[in-house]
Amino acid sequence: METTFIIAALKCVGYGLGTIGPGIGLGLCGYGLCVGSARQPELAGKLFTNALIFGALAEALALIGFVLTFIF
Amino acid sequence: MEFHLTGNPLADIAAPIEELSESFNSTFVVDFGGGIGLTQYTAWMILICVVTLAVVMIGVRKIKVSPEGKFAGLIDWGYDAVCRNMGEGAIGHGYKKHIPFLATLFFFLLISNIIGLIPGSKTPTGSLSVTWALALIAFVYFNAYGFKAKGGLGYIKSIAPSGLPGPMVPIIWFFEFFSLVIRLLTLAVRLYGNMFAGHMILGIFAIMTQFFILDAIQFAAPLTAAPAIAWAVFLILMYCLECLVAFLQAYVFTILTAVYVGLAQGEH
Repeated sequence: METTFIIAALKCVGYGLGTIGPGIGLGLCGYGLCVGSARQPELAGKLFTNALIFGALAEALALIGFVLTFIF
Repeated sequence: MEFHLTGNPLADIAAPIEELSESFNSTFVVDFGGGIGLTQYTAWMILICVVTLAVVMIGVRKIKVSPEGKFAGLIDWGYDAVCRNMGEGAIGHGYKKHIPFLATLFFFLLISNIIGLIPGSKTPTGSLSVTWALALIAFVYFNAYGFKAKGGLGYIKSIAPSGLPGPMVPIIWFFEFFSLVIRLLTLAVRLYGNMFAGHMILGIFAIMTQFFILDAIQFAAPLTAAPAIAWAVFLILMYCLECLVAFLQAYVFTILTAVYVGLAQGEH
């Protein structure tokens, strides 16, 4: 009982640590999108699509961490 | 030392909350035997398929040159968003043949996410099996169109971007291939994670509200009910956020599929 609880708690801590990097990455991605489309509003649509691609790439890391908590 | 001014509502929470786990379980509701049956998620998914069909059919009947009435206008607006933003913006040239697939995906996801927000109903996208199936369909779809557009070997080569120095090609190819395969996982888990976690938070807030109110009644201490107000406010705020997330996740899933189709097909 105690060990299961510790493992579950460690999973939560591990996932929390794993979200730091993607969080920074997504923040930078959104920052770049806002700054870019403020400077050149006519490119906003294209920038948004690109931002989504890189947002998805950054988010993939957090999602892999999320899946690992199921696997182990 | 036991110190109880009033009962502590949080003392019971360490035990697994039955209502919550019951509301998220995916055991068979109707069992046909042999491992085949209907879970509550599948049952809701069938209902949502019917609703999607009905909504779109009714909407389409009223769309003439200019849509008649608010409902048809809404459907028209959604379809237009798929065409303009996702089709033209993400796929580019030759986007027209992908619109039926993308629009179906978008309307199904949007309606299932929004129906899941009605208290008492379940969203099929909150089940990992459903999102795996959807992601697998999208994955096979964009890979098939990549193969069709570039040919077998050409598509495999085009995974690595062109114009790299020779020795770098296998390394970059490997990483790009990994990111291609991981798209299946991320598409599925992004949708599932957002919907499941959102609904779990709503459930927890609702149960906390109930705990504090029940405790106030049980111990006849009106002050214990005060935190329930805060929990209810949180619940309403999170519900508003979930309405946004429901739309956003349907949009993100569809536009990422469109982007992947565009990437797989490449420039013509």
